[in-house]
Amino acid sequence: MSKTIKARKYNSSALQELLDEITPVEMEQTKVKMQLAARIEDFVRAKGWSKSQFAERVGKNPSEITKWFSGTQNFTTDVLTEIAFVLGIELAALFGKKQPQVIYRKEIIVKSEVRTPFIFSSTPLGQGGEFYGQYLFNNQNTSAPFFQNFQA
Amino acid sequence: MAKIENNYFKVELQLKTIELLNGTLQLPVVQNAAITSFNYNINIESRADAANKLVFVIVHVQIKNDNQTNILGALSVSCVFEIENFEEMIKTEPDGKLNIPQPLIDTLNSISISTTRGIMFSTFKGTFLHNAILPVIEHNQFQV
Repeated sequence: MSKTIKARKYNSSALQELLDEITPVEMEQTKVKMQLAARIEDFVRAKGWSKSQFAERVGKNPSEITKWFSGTQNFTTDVLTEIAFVLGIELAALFGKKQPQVIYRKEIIVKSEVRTPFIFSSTPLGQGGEFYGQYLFNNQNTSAPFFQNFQA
Repeated sequence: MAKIENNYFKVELQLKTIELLNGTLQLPVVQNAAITSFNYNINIESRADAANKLVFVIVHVQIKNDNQTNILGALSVSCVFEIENFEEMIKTEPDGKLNIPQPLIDTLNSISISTTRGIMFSTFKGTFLHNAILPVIEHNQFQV
């Protein structure tokens, strides 16, 4: 017969007092910092970089990267932007919002000349069309011009 | 769902959504001067959402005057494609990057630019940009 081993619930008044001192906002701040650190580490791992390779790329000491990954660092927007830039991702991606990945980007420059409209530049649908307009939209079996459908 | 099959690839796709993201007109300072030609700066960006098998093609067009000094108008259109055989067509590389084949880029860009041309015409119809019709773009210009 198998015996299930469960973690014992630890109750301590001292611990409870400490936890009570933490406000919900502080709790959320810590959570966000931890998640942010974990996401940065995930992106670094996905790139296949070591801690020192990443440190080199962001111009910091490996010890500082260790602090970043510990989840205690309070990042500034500038630092986060730099991290996102180095990792080649969007800033929002660091906060867990998964952006569709850019797979293609291209700039094309083209030019068009404005010409004076000439006689056949309009689609000939009316009575005056002597060429292709007269039987437009008709199949070969019906020879009635298209405009006749709209005559009284 | 449309199937496009040729010697290079076989794709099943559907144009799910078309969005007009932005459209602006800017009257030229000298309004009586005839515009003899338009320059179009086209920026195409494609984004892929593998989880939902979607590809977003966003086309930004800036219409400039003859000597490219003034922006006369701008328009941005987003076309959302659903690719049924997404995993088959767009491969995920070991580093997580998605790799889209050039023939598929050509197809999606071509559809998106044509759609943008139509929207552009209908947006600027009757204005001084009435004759600014986005030229036909050759596929080789889509290559990075």
